[in-house]
Formats: sequence, structure tokens, C-alpha cells
Amino acid sequence: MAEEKNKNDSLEKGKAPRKPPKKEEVNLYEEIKDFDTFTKVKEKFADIVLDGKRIREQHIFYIKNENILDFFKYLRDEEKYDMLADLTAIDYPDREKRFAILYNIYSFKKLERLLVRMDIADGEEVETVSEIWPSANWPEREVYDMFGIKFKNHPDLRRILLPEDWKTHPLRKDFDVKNRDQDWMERHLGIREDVNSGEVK
Amino acid sequence: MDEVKNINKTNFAEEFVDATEELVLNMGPQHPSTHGVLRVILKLHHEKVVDLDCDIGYLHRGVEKISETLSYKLAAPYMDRLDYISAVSNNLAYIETIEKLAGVEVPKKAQYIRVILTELARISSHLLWLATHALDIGAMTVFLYCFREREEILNIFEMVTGARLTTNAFRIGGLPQDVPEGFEKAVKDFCEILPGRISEYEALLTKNRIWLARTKNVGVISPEDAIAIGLTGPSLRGSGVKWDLRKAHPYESYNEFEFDIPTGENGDTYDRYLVRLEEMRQARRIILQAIDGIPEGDFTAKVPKVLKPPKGEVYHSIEAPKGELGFYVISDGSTKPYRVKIKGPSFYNLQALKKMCLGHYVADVVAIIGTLDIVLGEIDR
Repeated sequence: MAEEKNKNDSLEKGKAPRKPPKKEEVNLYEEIKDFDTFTKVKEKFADIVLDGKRIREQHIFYIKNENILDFFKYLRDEEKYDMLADLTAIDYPDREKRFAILYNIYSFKKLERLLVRMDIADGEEVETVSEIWPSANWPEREVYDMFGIKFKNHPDLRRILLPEDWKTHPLRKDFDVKNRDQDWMERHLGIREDVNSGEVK
Repeated sequence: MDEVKNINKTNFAEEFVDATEELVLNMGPQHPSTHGVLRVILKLHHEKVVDLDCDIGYLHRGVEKISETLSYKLAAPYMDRLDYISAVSNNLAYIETIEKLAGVEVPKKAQYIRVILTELARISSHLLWLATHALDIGAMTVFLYCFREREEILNIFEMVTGARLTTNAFRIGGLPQDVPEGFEKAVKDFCEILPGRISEYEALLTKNRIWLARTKNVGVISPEDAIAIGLTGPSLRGSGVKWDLRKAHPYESYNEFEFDIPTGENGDTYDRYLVRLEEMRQARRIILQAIDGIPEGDFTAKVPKVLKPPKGEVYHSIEAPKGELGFYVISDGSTKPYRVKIKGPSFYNLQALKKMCLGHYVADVVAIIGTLDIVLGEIDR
């Protein structure tokens, strides 16, 4: 009996609800202050540039998918952002404009990095920037491969990492990580697997 | 009579010289000098390259997708397997990005040890590059020499982390444990022998006539083109652009150490070779300064067991041995990252292959793949 009682005691103790201290939501995004490029761009491309933010000492511009080539040409030629360091996309399936394209550009003259974000809807086409920065060629192919976003006037828009006859776009959020293109696997490898158990048939 | 005429007509050699037909040659993905599983489709006119296309993706594992399903801490070992030749650098770039996102301050002691290990990784990566690059061009001896020194570095890694290649050396907030006894001595001993060994490689290569013929004026790229195509790291510095993230945007107390950024002049394979050799010497300089100045204190900061960085997005990059290695991480306030994008230097560096190879001989393609110092684990992700 005594043992049981002890057990109950400890159980109750274990059950005692431990409330973690509520942390205040930290907002990392700040308004841009004293950033020359932003004021200039905001004036010159008032209809494209929507907003600008600063997060952990990094400037981000938010733009609309209109005449982006003029905007980027201006950034390259006048503001000397001469390298496109990276280009990628992000999928937000719940949003009205599903995808965001992120341009990561760098200026060797100012030693400064700039992120430019642009929201686009599913099926919307984006002008390629590979004319402005040739390094955009492969990353744009990768975005097409992984998200299915098409780039207008791209010199060579093919899949880059996955096989040419693959059907899905795996970095979309509705694509399960365990999922694979079963038809492709059957055609080329002669196997078909159960998605849930991973069993090969 | 007719037969004789016909023989005269089909002068085989003449026909061959006049041939205007182009030949498509498939190189890889199992070719030993493509450093992994890179497939290059070459279009040749006689022996000169007129066009080429790279086929990549043979090593695609979907690291970006996998890390979306794991917690911030669990994804770290995956990053070691991107550029498996310098796993420490990859680990550092990822860990630093998460620290920047979550706002974690790393103690000075951990920073110094991180610098030592990443610089050792840089030397080991450059040693492996030199070994295989020289082997591709035909200098077998250098291969054996370089692996001898690389072994010493791997021994140090094994001493600190328990692993030789996929080290998973750092944790968010600092190090998993303090460095063991004898670490300082091992590093100092290695630094002692390194300059002599680098002179040995130089004696074998730098003024070697065959080496000069195979590397001088091969794969030339101008600084403007290099920037436009997105080259970073030693490949960019070989073209004369003096840009190094350790100086431009110092991280991990790199601003406290003295070192030079070597640059080339002509942007050819030979210059990139000299740049990398000098980088090894500079890395040794940094290590020696860091090992003498390791401060007292904790080896890790206090980090909650379940890490939930605030909502936001961060891009952070470091100077990996091969160039700018960056991570772009988006947090939605939960325990898993919403999106992880890996900007691998090799992916962008390989884009320059076409520009550098056009007009060169087939044999030079091998030299140029070598000089770009690519690793397919990072390109395909």
C-alpha cells in the first residue's frame, strides 16, 4: 500500500503542469533608416518598390513583378551591384501570391549585400535576369526544377538537378519529403514503392 | 585503273584535315578527373572545344527539403556532407546562420577554436585540390606528398571531434566539448612542418616546364567576366579581384588576425595555383596567431534545448575553401526551419566552365575542371 501511495504521489508530481515562461514575440524586422539606395530607388521606381525592411543588419527590398529588368539594370549600373550571388524561391501555399522569388545581389565596390524579394502567383511568369547577370542562368533553372516557376526569355530553361522527364517539383510545400515520382521510377528502375512504408514492390 | 584512281581520291589524311564535322564527346559521369559524378558533353572540332554542356544532379539528395523536416540542430550533420572535403567549413556556415537568426553570442574561446579548425580545413581542402589537380595533369608524386600532410590534419580532426571526414565539429552556441589535451601541440607541430612541405610541392611544380605548359594561359577569365558569372573564392582572386569575406565582412573574430589576401594577375590556371598555395601559408599564419591567443572561458554559450528562433529570415555567408558558402534560412517561429537555401560556391563556379573551356583542347578541359576546385556533393545538394 505504502509503495502504491508513493507511486501515486510521484505521478501527481510529474503531472503538475509546468508552465514555460511566456516569451515576448520578437520582431526582427525594422524600418530602413539612412540607406541611400533605398531612397533613390523608392523615388525612381515608385510603382515597383513596395517596401523595404532591415533584418539583422541586412536590407531587404520588396518589389512587384513589373518591369523588373529596368529596376535590376539600374541596380547593376548605377548602384554597382555587380554580382548576383544567389537566386531562389520560397513557397507559401496559404498565401494568395504563392511564391516569393529572392534575389541576392552583391556590390564589390560598396562591399554590400542586398536582398530583393518579389511575390508572384502560381503560374505567373518572371522575366529572366540572366541577361543582366549571367550567373542567374543555372539558379533560375534550379528554381524552375524545384518549384515549377517559369522564366520568360531564359536561354535554356531545362531541369538541372532532376531528370528531364521527372514530373513533380519537390521543393513545393505540398510535396511530401518521402514522395517520389513513382512513374519515373517504374519506367527507369523497374520498381514502385509504397509511399508510407517505403516498401518496394 | 579505276581502282587506283579511287585510292588516290580518298586520301584519308587530307579528308581528315578538311573535315568540318563536329564530334560530340561524352565525358563522365564516371570519368576520374571530373572529381565525382559530373557529366560534361563536349562538342569538338578536331581536338578543340567549340561547345559544352554540364549535366549535374547525379548526387542530388534533397538536403534543402530534408532540413525543412528536421529541427535546427538535427539538420547540422547533413551540412557536413555537402562539401565533404572541408566538412568543418560547411558546418560553420550553417551554425553561424542559425546563431545570427536566433541572436546567440558565441564565447571568444569557441570562436578562436572555430577559426583554427576551419583554417585547418582550408589547408586540407587545398591539399586535396593540389593533389588531384596535379594528378589530372600528370604529376603523380605531388599526389602522394599532399596526402601525407592531409593525413596529419585529419588526425587533428579525429582528436578533436572523433571523426576524420564528416566531423560535425560545432554546435549552435559554441563547441560540443573543450579541445582535448595535446591539441595545441599537435597543431603547432603541423604548422612547423607545413612551410617546408609547401616548398617541396613548389620545387616539383612551380618551375616545372610541363606544369607551366599545361597551366599558363589555360582557362583565362577576366575579372569582369568572373564577377558576372558569379565566381568566388580563389578562382575569383586568381583573376585579380581582391575580395575575401574574412576581410570584407569579418565573422568569428577574423578581424583580430593579420593575414594577406593573395591575388593573381592573368586569371589563368597557373595564377589560381599560386593563389591557393599562398592561401595555405596565410591560413597557417592565422592558425599560429589563434593558437597562441586562445582566451580563457567557456566553450559554449547557453542555448535552449529546443531552439525556436524568432520569425525572420537571414542570409549569412563565409569564405569556404572553394568560395562564398552561404545559407539563407527562414524561420516561422517553430522548431523547424521554413526554408533552407544553400548557396554553394561550386555550383556557381562550375557555370564558368563553358566560358573558360571554349577554344581549348580536350586535355585542357581536365585541367580547367581541376582548377575550378568543384565538389559535386555541394553542387547537387
